Order: sequence, then structure tokens, then C-alpha cells
Amino acid sequence: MATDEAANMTNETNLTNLANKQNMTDKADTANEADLTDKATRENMADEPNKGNEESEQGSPSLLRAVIEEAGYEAGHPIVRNIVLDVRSGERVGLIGPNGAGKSTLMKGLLGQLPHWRAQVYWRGEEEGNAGEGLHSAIAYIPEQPIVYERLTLWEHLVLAAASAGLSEDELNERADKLLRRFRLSGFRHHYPVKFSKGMQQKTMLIVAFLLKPDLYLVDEPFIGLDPGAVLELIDALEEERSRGAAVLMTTHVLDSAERMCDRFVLVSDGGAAASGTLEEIAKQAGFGPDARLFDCFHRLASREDEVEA
Amino acid sequence: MTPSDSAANRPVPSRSVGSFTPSRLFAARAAAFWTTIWKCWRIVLDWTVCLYIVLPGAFIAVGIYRDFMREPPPGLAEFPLYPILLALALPQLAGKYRTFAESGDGLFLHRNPQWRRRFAKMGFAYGGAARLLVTSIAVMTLSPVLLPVFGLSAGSLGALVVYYTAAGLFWSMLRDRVALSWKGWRRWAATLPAGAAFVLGVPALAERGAASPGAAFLSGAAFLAAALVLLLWRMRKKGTLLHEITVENESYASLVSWVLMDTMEKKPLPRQRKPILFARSQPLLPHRDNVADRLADSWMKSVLRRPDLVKQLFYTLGVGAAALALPPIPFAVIVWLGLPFLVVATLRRYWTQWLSEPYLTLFVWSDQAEAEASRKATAWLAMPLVLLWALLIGVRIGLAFGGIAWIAVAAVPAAGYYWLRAANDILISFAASRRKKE
Repeated sequence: MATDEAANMTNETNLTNLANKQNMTDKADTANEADLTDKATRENMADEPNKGNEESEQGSPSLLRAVIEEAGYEAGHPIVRNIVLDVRSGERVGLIGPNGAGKSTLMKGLLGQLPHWRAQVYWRGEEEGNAGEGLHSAIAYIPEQPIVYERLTLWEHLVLAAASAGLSEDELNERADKLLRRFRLSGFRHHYPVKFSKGMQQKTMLIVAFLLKPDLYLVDEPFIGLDPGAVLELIDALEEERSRGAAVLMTTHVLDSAERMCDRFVLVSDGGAAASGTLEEIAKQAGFGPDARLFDCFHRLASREDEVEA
Repeated sequence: MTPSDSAANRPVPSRSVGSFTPSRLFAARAAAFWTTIWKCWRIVLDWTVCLYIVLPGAFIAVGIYRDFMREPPPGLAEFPLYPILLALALPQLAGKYRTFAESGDGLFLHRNPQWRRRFAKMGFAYGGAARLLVTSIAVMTLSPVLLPVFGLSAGSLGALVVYYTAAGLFWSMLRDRVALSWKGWRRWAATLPAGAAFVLGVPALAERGAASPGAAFLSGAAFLAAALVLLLWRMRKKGTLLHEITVENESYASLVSWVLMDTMEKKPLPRQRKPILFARSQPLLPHRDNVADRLADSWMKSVLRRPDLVKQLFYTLGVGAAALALPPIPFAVIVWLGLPFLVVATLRRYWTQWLSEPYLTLFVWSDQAEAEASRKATAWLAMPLVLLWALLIGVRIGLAFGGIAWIAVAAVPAAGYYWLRAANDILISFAASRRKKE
């Protein structure tokens, strides 16, 4: 209990610091009042005073919460700044935005792969440093470009993944057989994935991720390279995982699928959050009615961003 | 007619673009390639290495060669000529038909038939010139033996150079054709018997040619004609760009893989869709649910499936065996005590490199599992080499002292087993302490 309180206090301090910095920036740069990125970020930050371990309106606890001050590949050149991400158990959050907006950078940051990353990340209410290895072992990452090792067969890729997750041989056999059948790769289990087509390699990455049954999936452009059958299987598999309680944070350009799959969205534009919320909330922010399509909202918000920049 | 129409209707230059001709471009690329290779080797061949290792080594080698040629071993005249001619044939198996193609050629150059044909001819000429140079050097090196001891004439040597060059050229074109026609086991099924026939047949024909230079020239001309027929087929063949790029990548990798083994961005990819070793993904080590065993097993299979790494292990085995066979037994034993450290250090470098592979970094591995896996895996892979060396030492001791000393054949490998484990533990502890300091 005392530990929780201490963690909350630490979290509050971190957020207060961030908010103070934000206020100072605001005072110094009132010309940027119209900047939707900062506005949305401030709204996000102001709306979420309980840091890492608050509960959502639906009552589900926050699984991952990241308060990102700035992130990038070079000091002084942030690609992403002032974004708050909140993913709850069983929820699917879509990170959408134009090319080069910083979506993939955000993913890399969450995976600890960025050299410059100023953020507080909370995993099940605990700050990342305190979560130990729990965070990384509970996340499965499906990259946009499939990552395979050239001298291992598909089955051996699965054996390694299973070893990292501590799966027994029986669990591996049962889960892997099911997934290989589902993604129609049963006949290729002893082939080198490096010799597969892009779509088959993408399926390999999906199988590896689903095999681990993580709490959170970080999925970067999941539909690229997949045939329509595989897209449907992916959607079904993610739905099954959602019913298990797993959350998904995905970046995508395929807005129709995102609209069908995701519960909430964060529109990233020019490295910041231009809008966030459910489709209804996004539509409101874009000035549309509740029946608006995500594509139209995206288009309008992105255009507005361009106008502000101009 | 708009400017773009006129541009579209402009004929594609057939022989040159501006002042650039296919032959100039080919020459520029060949020069750039060898400059790059030289720069890579300069990484290891700095002045200290040249001064303290290369120059003394060359000096000693030249001295040994001079002594050998001045006073050939007495019985060499009775030695058959065939093995020497076989040794001359073996280098001809190396080298491929190259065109120095680049992936960007797909945009324009490779779509122009005349440029493509010209590049094909240049590749043929380049291969011929390279083989002529290598064969001439080899024959000249052996000439002090071939001329006086075996009684060959200067004309015969000239004929041998032409013959081997033509035979090598034919072999490279034949291999190229096989590679373009088949993949996987079919390619191997075609290449292996053809290679065996080449290695055995070419020296047999050369033996006849050594007696009669005319016959050697004639055989060389026949090989050249056959190579030209294959070149004509190759020039008519379309869709060869990907194959040519693969050949270029492999040539580059084979020349610098040793120097850049830890830094090469493009590692050689497997040629087959399925592995030849452990084709059913079966484990090398029996394991069920142990993380370290699974990691160790995956790494060992990865190493054994990489021909470049296996080749290096074989080289290490050969050089180690030579270092144990040549010096007096006490020195050989000292060398033998050091060799496990060398092998384990090499394998540990492979291990570290493997663990940093992007796929491996997707997962979290505990320090304990990593340490246990590396301990097991390096010991298992080093074991055959260390035991073979130990066996060699044991046999030398047995031969030198006889009788009860033959027990060394069993005792030294047994000691080798424990010595390897100790060497492995020492190096792992050393690496762990270094990591802690960092």
C-alpha cells in the first residue's frame, strides 16, 4: 500500500514537472495557441491526473501509459513530442497519421530502441523502471518490416520465441500447430523464412507474436503485405486475444480496417497528438457529426494541421 | 510533337552513353571492386602486421621455396607428374563468371540488349585474363621443378598455361549455366559430378599435353570453343540480372568475409529454401523445456548451417593440426594447450554476434540462460576440434616413444576434454567480469 502511494507520488511529481514545463512553454509561445498538437496534448495531460494507475470510464485498469515528452534519434531533434498514450486491457488503440508523422518512432521508443527518449512509462500502474523485465516480456512487437534470422527454419523461430516466453514443448506444439494452420504456413514449417515472400514473412511475425500470448501487442502497419485471407485471420486472431484481455496498440494507414478494429485512436501529426479518443470524439474534434468516417476525420484534421503549419 | 514525345522517340544509345562505353563502365566497376577489396584488407594489413608478420613470413617462404628448388628432394623424379597437374587444376574450380552487374542496371543498362551482350563479352574476357594471370603464376612457380626434374620444355609449359586457362574458363561458364538452369539439389546433382569429372579429367589430359605441346594447345582450343558456345547461349539468355547480382554479392562476401566477419551488413543468405543440415528442424541436443538448451541448440545449428563459419572452423582445424604436427613434441604440447582458448574465443565471438541479431533481440533472455547456453554451446562445437588435435598429439607421442606411450592416444583426448571445459570457463568468466566493469 505504502509502495503504491509512493509510486503515485512519484508519478504525480513527474507529471507535475511535465505540466509545469508545458505551462512555461505555453506562456512563452502564445502564438502557438492554435497549435492542435500542443492543445491536444495539454488536454490529454489535464484529463489524466491519476498517472499510471487510474481506471478508465469503463472501469478497466490502464495497462500501458506513456507520457512522452520527446523522442527521437538525435539529441535536440525530436521526432515525437508531448504525446500521452494510454492503453487498457482488452482495448485496441490505433495510432494513425500521415507518412513521417512519427508513429513508428513512437513504437520504437516504447520498445526501448530509441537513443533519445524522455518519457515516463507506466506498466500496470508501476513506472517502467520498477516493472523490471515484466514490461518487455509482456509485450509482443510485430514490426512493419519482418525480422527473421536467415539460418533458422520457421519452426526454429517459433522454438526460440517459445523459449524466451518459457513455454513448454507441449504448449509450443499445441499453439504453433494451430497458428501455422490458421495462417496457412503448416507446409513451410521446415523452410527458411528468409526465403519467404514478404507476406509470408509478415505471417511468420504474426505467428511468433500470437504464440507468446502477451498482454500487449505493438503492431506496426499489420496489413501491409498480407493477402485478404490473412487480413481476416489477423482480425479474428486479434479479436480472440482481446477477449482474453490482451490489448493492441497498432499503427496503420488502412483507415477502414482501423475504424472497424480499434476502440480508440490517436492521430499523430508532425510528431504530436493532433487528436485522440473514440471515433465519436475524434469526429467531434474534427467538427463532424457522430456518423463521420475515420477517413474524413483524418483528412480534415490533417488538413487543419497543414494550415496551422502554413 | 512535345518535348517529352521527342524524348520518348529518341533511340536508346546502343553502344555508349556520352563518353561512357560498356567496356569503360566494366573496367571502372572492376577497378572499384578491387579497390574496395583492397581497402577492406588494409584494415588488417596495417604496417605493423606487414612489418612483423607478412614480410618475415614472405621472406621465410621464399627461402624455403628457393632451397627446395635448388635442391629438390632426391626421389622427386620418380614422383608421378599427375598430382602436380591435379594441384594446378584445383584453383581452376574457384572463381565465377562475373559481369560486375549492379542492381541499378535493371533501370536502363540491362534492358539494352547491346549493352548486356557487351557486358557478357567483357565478363568473359575478364575471366580469361584473370585465369591466365593466376595460371601463369602457378606454372612459373612450379617451373623450376617441371623443367629440369620432369623434363618438360618451355613450350610445354606455355601450352599448359593456355590449356588450364581455357579449361578454367569453360568450367566457369558451365557452372554459370548450371546455376541459371537449376536450383537446390538439382544444381548440386549437376555440379558435383561435373566438378569431379573436371578435377580428374583435366590433369589426365594435361599429362598427355605435357608430352606433346600441340595436343595441349588443341585441347585448350577445344575447351575455349566449348566456353564460347556457352557464352553465346548466355548472351541470348534474358532475365539474368538477379543471378548476376547474386554472383557479385557472393564474390564480394567470399573475398572479405574473413576480414569483416563481425561487421558485414549483408551476410551470405542460404541458397536453399530448406536447410540441408537438420532438414526437419530436429534438435541437435536433446532438450525439452530448458531455455538455455534451446538457445544453445539454435545457435549451434545456425553456425553449422553457415558455410563461411564452418569453413573458418575447418581452416582453424587444419592450421592447428599443422602447428601440432611440425614442431618437436614438447612445443606441440604447449601449442595444444593454447589452441582450445583460440577456438573458444572464436566461437564466443560468433555467439555474441548471433545474440545481437535483430530477431534474437526481439526477446528478453535472462543473464543466467545466456551464460548457461553459451557455456554449453561453445564447448560442444569446440569439442571435435580439440579432440582431433589431442588425438594427433597422442599419436605423435605413441610413434615417438612406442610401447606404453601409446596410452597417450586415449589419455590426451581425455585430458583435452577437461582442458577445453576449463578454457571455456576461464574465457566465460573473463567475459563476464569485463561486462561487469563496463
